[in-house]
Amino acid sequence: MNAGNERSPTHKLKIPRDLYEEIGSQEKIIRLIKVGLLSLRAASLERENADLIKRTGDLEKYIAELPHEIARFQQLLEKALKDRKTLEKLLAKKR
Amino acid sequence: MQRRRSSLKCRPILISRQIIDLATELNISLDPDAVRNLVRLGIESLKQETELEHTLTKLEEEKTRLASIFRRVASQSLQLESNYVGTRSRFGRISRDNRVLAMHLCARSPRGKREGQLRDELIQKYIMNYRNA
Repeated sequence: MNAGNERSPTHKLKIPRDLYEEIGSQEKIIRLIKVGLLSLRAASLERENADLIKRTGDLEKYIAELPHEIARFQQLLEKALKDRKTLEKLLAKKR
Repeated sequence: MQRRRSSLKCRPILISRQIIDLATELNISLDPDAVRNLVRLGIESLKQETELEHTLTKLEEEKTRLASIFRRVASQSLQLESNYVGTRSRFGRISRDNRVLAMHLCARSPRGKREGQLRDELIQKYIMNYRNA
């Protein structure tokens, strides 16, 4: 689309003649197209919001597990560090 | 057949830039068949244009709020995950070091009963049961 078109306030749209005759007026068709598009946009936003809620919930469940896992590994780490000291002491005695 | 009829018998009308922008945003082409579907959707819609615009504003605000919550939770998750990965990898590194030290200890004989007991426990833990440790 060129710059001339972007500045233009209106654009041409081809409407099936039978549809035009059924609806009866250009204004009514334009209004219905707009309502159709707005409905689609609303449905799309509802999906996006539902997706955000689900992703946030999944993430919250995941991070709820992490403090427990961190504490578990912290405990294991403390024991391993204690064991290393013992191992080093035992090896030092032998030298 | 219907597609052919649509393309042959059409009447051009002028529409505003706003409709083009909305269609572009939704990735919808405005060919005669799509226009037909949009008009049907417009007829079936339970809400009027102003009502829908109000709903869209509310939904956009809700999306902004939800996106902000998601970003906050994602940031918390990253911090905790980094802490978790750091602690777990440090534990893994120390355990591997201990396994090497325990292997050296295997080659030596203990001096006392207490020392022998400690030696056996550590060899058991870091060599024999290493995978379960």
